[in-house]
Amino acid sequence: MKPILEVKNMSICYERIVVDDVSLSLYQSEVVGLLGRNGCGKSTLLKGIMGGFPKCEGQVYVYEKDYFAMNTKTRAQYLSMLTQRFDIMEGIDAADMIEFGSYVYSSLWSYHSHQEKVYEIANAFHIQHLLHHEYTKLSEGQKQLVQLARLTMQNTPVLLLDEPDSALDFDNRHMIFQWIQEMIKHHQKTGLIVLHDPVVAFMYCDRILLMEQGRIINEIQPQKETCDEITLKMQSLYPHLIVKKDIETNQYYCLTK
Amino acid sequence: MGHKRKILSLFVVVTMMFSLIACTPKTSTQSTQIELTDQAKRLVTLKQPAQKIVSCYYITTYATLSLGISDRLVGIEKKAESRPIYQMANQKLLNLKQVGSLKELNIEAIAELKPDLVLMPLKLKEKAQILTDLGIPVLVVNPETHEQLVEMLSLIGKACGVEDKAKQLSEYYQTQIDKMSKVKTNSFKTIYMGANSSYLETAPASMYQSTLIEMAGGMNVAKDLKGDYWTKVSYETLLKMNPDMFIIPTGASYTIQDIFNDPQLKTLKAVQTQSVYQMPQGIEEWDSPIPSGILGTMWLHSLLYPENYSFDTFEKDVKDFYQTFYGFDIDQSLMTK
Amino acid sequence: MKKKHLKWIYIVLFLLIVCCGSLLIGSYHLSLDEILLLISGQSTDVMAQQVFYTLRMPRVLMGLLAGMALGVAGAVYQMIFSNPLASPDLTGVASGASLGAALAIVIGAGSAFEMIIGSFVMGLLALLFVILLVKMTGSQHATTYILAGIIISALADASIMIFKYISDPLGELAAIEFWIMGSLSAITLNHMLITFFSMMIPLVLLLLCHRQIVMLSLGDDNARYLGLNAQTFRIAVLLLTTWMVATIVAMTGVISFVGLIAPHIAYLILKKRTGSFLLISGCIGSLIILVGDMLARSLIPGAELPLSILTIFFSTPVFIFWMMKQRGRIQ
Repeated sequence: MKPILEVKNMSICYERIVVDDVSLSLYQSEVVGLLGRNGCGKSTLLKGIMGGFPKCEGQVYVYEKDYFAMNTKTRAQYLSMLTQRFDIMEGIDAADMIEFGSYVYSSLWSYHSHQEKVYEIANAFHIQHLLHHEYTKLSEGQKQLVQLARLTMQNTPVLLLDEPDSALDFDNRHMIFQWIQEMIKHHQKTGLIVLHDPVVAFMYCDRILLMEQGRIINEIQPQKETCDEITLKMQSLYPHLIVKKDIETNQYYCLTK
Repeated sequence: MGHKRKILSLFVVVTMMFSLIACTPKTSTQSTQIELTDQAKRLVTLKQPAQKIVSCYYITTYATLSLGISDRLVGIEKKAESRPIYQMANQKLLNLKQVGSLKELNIEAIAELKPDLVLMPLKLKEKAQILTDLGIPVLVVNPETHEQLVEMLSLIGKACGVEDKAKQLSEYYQTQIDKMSKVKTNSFKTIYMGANSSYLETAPASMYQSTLIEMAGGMNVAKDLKGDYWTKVSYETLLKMNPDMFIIPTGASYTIQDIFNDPQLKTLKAVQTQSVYQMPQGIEEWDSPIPSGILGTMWLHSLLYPENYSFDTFEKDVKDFYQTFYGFDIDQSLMTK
Repeated sequence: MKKKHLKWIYIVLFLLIVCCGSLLIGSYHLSLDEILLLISGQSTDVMAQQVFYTLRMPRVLMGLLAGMALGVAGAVYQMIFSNPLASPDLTGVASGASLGAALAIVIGAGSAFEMIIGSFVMGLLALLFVILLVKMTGSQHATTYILAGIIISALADASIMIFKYISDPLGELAAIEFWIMGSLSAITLNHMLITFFSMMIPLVLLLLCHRQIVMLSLGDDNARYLGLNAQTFRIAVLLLTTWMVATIVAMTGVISFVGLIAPHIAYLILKKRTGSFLLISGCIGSLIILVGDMLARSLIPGAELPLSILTIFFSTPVFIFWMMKQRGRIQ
């Protein structure tokens, strides 16, 4: 099977080396988690893949096409990202933000209003009552949901999510990952998700890449490995962690030493 | 959808508004009887001598006074009340609508007066076209030198049917100039004329004030200075020039006393010999190229050669001048030095 | 949804009323009846026709156009720099254009045509210098543009000071000062038509790109992730707005504050920066200029005050009101 997204030898450095010779491949319908401690370069890697560092080294291929050779709009049709920060001016409401996702499919001379689609997507996230609210006045969690709605609108085959669960409460977090599962499994997308919580990683990811000081040090495939193997691999990053699997539900859970 | 439609409808509305403008009526050309080229090289045409005149600055108003047609004025320049001659020669002028200054013209106000002719200085040349487009003839003048002053009077005379008056004036000038040039002397007195704003500014040779001095029979100490406009001099330069006579213009912001009080000028010959004079105030600015400017030259001539041209004779000449040309009796007490 | 349409209608209606009022004011007295006769083409008064069509009407329409251009430009600048204090003069357009006019006046070229060309060209040059400066520093961040704009504006202002110093105080200096304060008094039919055709293209293009402009306000990176090439787009938008603003400034001189205030008022009314924000900002700009011009012509009988004096006195209370509303939220 050919990889949907391929990253080759990406190195990003400003002042110090933040991402050090990273290579990875993502395949269709898989959720890949990027796990690591704070400051290990996860967010930077995501940004680098998106093209945020024009002077960095490395290549990115989507469907075997050179991603960096594409123009901005085409790039945004293949990869979309969920970021942590969106400092904007007042005067933009949630509906506008969601509709930004449709920009990639528009041209200067055609302008269709996507009001219905926006409403439909907002409904799915249960945020339709927020549509005409001022975006900057929403809570962090609500903003996150709006962003996910926007991602849905943008409808790219590859999703890069930078800590999508960070600002959310338990129920909403569950809804996020439900959405991720649906997107990836039912709509055949691919997702690279930056996470800092190993528990969440094991619950929802098909593969987990461990990152430390800018390098991918290990890869975990939960379905194919035993708990002991997994715990061993996690040692260097999470020395106090024991990973276990519940036999009845087949779900992973973690214990601390 | 709504977005683009709004833009389109705005476009349509605005285009409709402009089509209204497209139907502007054009002015019709009429057979002309008076054709002139004014001092901005523009062709000016009038059906007949102008009976309703608008004057945009003080020099053209003075011109109408000197040609005896000031009653034809329907519009005058701003701050007319600051010119004492209007009060003396024709008080009606102070009641006229004030429509312009060297900075700006109130075109609509001028249009409302429906004048036959508008007189304006070269500086406002750009506005001339707007008025001509409205069908109002404009005469642009630029009296910077004596010759141009005479030309201006001749042009205004032609435009208003008083060429004989204009001729009379220029003949008067010539008579006086000839009289003054007859004075023979071995050494010319050196004269320094200060500017209105400061006595540390003077007129180089190209300026009217310098010609005035020469015509009166003096020598302008600053004639070798470079420039076309009032030029700054330092105290040193002034002391080096050391003029025999120090002249202050009519509209100066300083007085004769200020010159005497200035400690840095104590050694000036003019100060020590008490030869500091100011042109008479309260009438007109005799130091500028105005119709009565010749009187300024004559005034200076009288100061330079009192034995040839006594001050009493001068005063009498001034009285005659204003009686002949302006039609009023000047107050003798204004004749000062 | 309905409330928004209502606000639109009120604003446009108010604008129309102000336009009509403006047509009635002037030294050449024209009553409402006479104006109606003129518009319907039934007037026989040749002078009145001339005054109305070559002076009065173009002047009012010019106020409309100028306000539209400055209001839209101000709104655009605020968004692409993500800064509520950004004004159309941020790239030095007004200073550059003033310099061009001062140059024309002092050289002696002073004819209306030459002044217009001079100020237009210099206004655009100011922007090009800003872009050059930004490219030289290598950082295409919004703040870099603002800094470069401040530098170029300062240079232009200093050059104007030199010209003021060497100019003849009676004629040239007064002319320069008067031009810098802005006025609609020299506007004739030709001026207005040239302005209309020159500014329509950038105006329409900017209005069509409203979405992209809002996206620029999200930040360069985010705009890029959404598929918008932020850097080239920003330069394109800057060129269009500067073209528009330079056209206006070349004709009317510098009319202060309109581009700064109109977007704020528009936001206060609409509470949104998307949708019709740009257009309403333009309409508010037109309102400010037309009302200011009406006052400029009627406060002192027979005379005309420079426009900027009125737009500033007018807009300052609104600005103060805005500042008080912000209370603690000014970044």
